[in-house]
Amino acid sequence: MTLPTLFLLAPILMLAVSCLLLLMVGAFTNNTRLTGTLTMLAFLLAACPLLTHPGSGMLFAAGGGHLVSLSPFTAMACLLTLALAALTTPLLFPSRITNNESRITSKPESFILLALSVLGMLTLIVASDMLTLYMGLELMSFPLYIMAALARDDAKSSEAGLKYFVLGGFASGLTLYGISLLYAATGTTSFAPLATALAAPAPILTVGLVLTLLGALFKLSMVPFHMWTPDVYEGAPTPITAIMAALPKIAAFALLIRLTMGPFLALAHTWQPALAMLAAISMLAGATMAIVQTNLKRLLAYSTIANVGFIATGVVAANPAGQGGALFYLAVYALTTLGLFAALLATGATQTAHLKGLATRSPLLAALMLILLFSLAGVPPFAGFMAKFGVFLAAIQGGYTNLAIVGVLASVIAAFYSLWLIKLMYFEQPASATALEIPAPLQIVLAVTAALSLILGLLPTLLSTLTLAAATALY
Amino acid sequence: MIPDLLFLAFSAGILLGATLVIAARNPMVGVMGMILTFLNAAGLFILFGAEFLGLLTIMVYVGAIAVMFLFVLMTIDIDYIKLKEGFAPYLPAGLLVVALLAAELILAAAHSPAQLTPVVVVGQGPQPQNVVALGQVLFTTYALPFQIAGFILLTAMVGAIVLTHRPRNDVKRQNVTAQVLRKREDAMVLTRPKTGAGATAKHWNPKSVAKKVKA
Repeated sequence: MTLPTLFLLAPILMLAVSCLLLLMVGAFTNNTRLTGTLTMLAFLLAACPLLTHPGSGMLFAAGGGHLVSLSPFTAMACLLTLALAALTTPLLFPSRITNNESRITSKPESFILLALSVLGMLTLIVASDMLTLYMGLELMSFPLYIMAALARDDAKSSEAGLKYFVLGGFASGLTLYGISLLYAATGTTSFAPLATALAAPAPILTVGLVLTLLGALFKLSMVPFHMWTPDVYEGAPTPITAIMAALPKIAAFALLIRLTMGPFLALAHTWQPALAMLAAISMLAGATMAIVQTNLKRLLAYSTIANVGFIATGVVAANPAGQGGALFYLAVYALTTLGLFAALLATGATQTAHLKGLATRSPLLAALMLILLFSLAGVPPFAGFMAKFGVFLAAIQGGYTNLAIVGVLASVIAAFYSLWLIKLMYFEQPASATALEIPAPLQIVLAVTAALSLILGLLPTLLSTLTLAAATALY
Repeated sequence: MIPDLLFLAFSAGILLGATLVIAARNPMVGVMGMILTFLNAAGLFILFGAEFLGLLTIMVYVGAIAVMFLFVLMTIDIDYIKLKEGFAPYLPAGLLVVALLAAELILAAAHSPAQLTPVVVVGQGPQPQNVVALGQVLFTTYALPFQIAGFILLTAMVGAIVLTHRPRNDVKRQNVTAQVLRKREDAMVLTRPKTGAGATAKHWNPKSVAKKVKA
């Protein structure tokens, strides 16, 4: 392996070194602001080689294939992850006006754990061997388990951490078992040889495929594997919930797309109908369950489940438009979710009733939340509409018209809770008339996410051409 | 013939141990069942020619994990009867899932192409080869996953500290650097009074003594 080929891995290597340096900075200065700023810089720096020298190739030859493969698709997914990771860091910053929750999470360690988790996500995205995949999956998950339990004096947070850890560990165990079954049947763990070996179908391969995909589906909280989501989202401190809701979904979907288009392409007749079914159930269950929630974080958890269903529609379509649409939707979804969680942090609201009359307390915050909620509901001038339009169109092109119809119905149901929250903010009387002051870091996140939701809605081609090109490179 | 019998013995041991883990009334017996499972799994590994993996299983699982379990069980005070409450209602659902999974796996194994990875039985080569083979690829071919594993361990370390360490401001700490760098000038003042011109020593009467005198 020559140095120029190793340069392809620059984002991962840079982030790995930054993790170690950040650990030193955090340990010796104990300065949250400094560690946070440096973490943000590390994410942005790691994204630079992807922008200046995008390349594709295979690295680390092993077992008839390669451990790592880079393509325009992985570059796009890595870029999205890094950009959004940089955008999540302000949520962990300490500010003058803080509630108890953000005091717990604004520690140097949170940033280091975030950086380690993002390192795992990047590894997961570029993996082209089951071994790298599993390592990436674990490195992505462990920091998240720890972060969910950060508020250790709070029983709910501890419960969230434990629940996430036990169920996540169980899912990883099943994934590992699936990988071992595939290895038993084919004698390889590498994606390229697996793709040729899986062309001859056998029952053991189907079991292996199902169990392997299960890990990704658990991380995505698709419906049969979604039970942890509301509890963990509710229990974990809000900034951590924002991170959990936005970042791992990108990595897990990138993994799902790479698996389904790589080694499992030959078994498309097996996973395509199954995934379509799961997508439909996720959309409907998520959207209906979100309506009855009174806790805002639980509501957003069910909204996540619904959105994951919408994104999976693009993956099921199995055409460039679908996968490109899924990437575009992922970016929009992550932005909207981050913005909404930042708004929750700014208001300090936990129950839906706390949002009553927000427009009179802070017109600016209410307006920004309005944009984000409209985007979430898929109202036309905003990005959410273009994202939904993209995946449904792709599903119809891919021959899944029924799924698209279910999707449109589910998005009508999902629009209800967004509009209901807007009604609470604008047409109800507030319990207290005190004006809200928004901390500066949250202002940045809110402004960026709301602005991007509007810009990507008006000019979707800014991003969608890029995601489409990235997805086309898979073929 | 003998490898087959050994295989059957080890497999039976695994099943027995696993059943014990679930069924044992006393968790201590359960942990013993777990150790039995690990030992038999290690036996299977060695039988298939993976002697390093077998030894590792004994060292890590029996030596570290099971012993830690035992320590935890001995240290904490739990009501074993209460732990078992609510076991029965979940039993049918659990059994159903287990039966489904088992049926799936048996079907899959039965209908598979015969050329599953061939079983390697002990006795290949004069020396154990696993460690050599692992050493050759661990730091070269598989350097990247190996490093990632290192980062996972780093995460575990950071996590253990984050979740358990509490800064205590009420405790005085030794500052070795300050201690070593302390100079004579910082610590004491030397005066050279002329003979007879120094301060006269007052009568030594600290508070503790004064109180006693009053009482």
